[in-house]
Amino acid sequence: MKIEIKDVSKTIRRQPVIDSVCVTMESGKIYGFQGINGSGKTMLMRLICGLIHPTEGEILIDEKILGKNMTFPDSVGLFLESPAFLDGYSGFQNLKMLASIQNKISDEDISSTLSAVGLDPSDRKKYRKYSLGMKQRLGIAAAIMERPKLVILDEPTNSLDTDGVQLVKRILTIQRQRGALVIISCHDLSILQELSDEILLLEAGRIKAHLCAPDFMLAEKEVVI
Amino acid sequence: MLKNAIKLECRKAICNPFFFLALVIGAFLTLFSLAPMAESFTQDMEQHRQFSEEFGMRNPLMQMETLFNHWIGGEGSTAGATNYFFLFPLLISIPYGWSYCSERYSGYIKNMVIRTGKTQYYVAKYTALFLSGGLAMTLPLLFNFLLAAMIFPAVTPDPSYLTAYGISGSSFLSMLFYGKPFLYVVMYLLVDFVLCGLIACLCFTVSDLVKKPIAVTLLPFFFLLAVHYFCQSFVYTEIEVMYIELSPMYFLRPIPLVYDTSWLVVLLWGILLFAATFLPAVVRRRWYEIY
Repeated sequence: MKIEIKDVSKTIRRQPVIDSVCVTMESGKIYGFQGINGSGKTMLMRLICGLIHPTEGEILIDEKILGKNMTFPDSVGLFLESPAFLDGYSGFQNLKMLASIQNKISDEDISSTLSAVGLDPSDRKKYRKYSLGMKQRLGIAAAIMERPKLVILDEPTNSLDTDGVQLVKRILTIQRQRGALVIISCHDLSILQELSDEILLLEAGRIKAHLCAPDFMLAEKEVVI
Repeated sequence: MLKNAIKLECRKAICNPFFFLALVIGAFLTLFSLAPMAESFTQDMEQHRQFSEEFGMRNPLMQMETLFNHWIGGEGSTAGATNYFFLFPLLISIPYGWSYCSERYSGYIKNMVIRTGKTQYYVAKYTALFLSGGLAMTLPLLFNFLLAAMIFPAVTPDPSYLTAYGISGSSFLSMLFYGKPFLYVVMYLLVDFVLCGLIACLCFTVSDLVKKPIAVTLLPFFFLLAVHYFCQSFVYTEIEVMYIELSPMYFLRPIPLVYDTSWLVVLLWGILLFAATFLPAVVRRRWYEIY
């Protein structure tokens, strides 16, 4: 999979939230988005997965224009902002319902994904009774369970304890190894530095710096500045 | 994909506690129609028996006692029937009217649309809402009809006693009522199913404007109440004139309470509701962005 973001801008109520962003992303790599609140990380993720449309420019996914030749990327796993599931169902039931739409994976796949994120597949506890960390893990499970070619995770380490953060790192590495294109955003720069192949520093909707693995020490300087 | 999405949405709409709650409330209300009707039927039958013993002949008024004017849709006198046909807009939106609003503002919609696509998701949601609304209206009515069929004789109504049935020659589907009364009941249930399904879909339409699921759920009730008030205050102004019933709160009752309705009114309401729900909720929303 190859994503080409060509001079994309997005304006909401006359306020530019994404401004002339150009970047190309490829499968088998982890891209980290870094920036302060309101810098446009989540908006850029929304644009990439087709939930919103650019005001200017275009996004090409495998040479197809998003929003024109395709509504959403063919295979995308998404975890944006906070996790949202149906309160009255267990984690397994929630994932099973979502998986039933595309019918690509079996119950065993769902169970193994839940185990991989540290949740018990046989737990009958309803989602409404989940702790914040459990909700977060379920959100990540929903994003990766169908082995999508594009994985977008917005602040996946929020509300997670140290073990949970290690688990996210392991999961992301596995996603990269299987050839997925992974995009994550995270406030903790050290996590991004450890995981990412490339880091995009965003500020006021623009890409302030695009750093590849060897230049990551510069990212710290940029953030400090 | 659309088939799977519809299956999932229907499952969510029908296998949820609110759907059962609406059915239980509906069924409970219909019992307040059945109990007094059964009691008056027993008293009437006793009088008929006394008449037969006294005069040595069958009371000709016995023909009036039929299933078709004793089930909740055929009688307009009990509190059960009045309450049911007053509260039905709530009963039809309780099962699933809140769903889209809740999914949109919680962010669950994102999980769905990236898997189904926008149009498929909206069509599936619309279908599920339509079915849940229609079923929430008709299942308690059917429950009442089946219970009533165990008590009252299914005598074909005789037009000689039309004043007892309240259905005149000009009433909606009256030919069926006096000719094939079971078909009349089925047809009326079908009309109620379709129109109540469409009314429930109003919740889906306004979910972009209203953020509180409870407010969305209450909307069909207040909408129908407003239509009813408008008709009573501004349309039916002359006492001597026989108007056509325009208010769904009245014409969705199989027995006409004040005025008869017509096919045209039912059809127009169907078209209007479909246009007011499907076009903005499914067709227009395809272009909306999801945040």
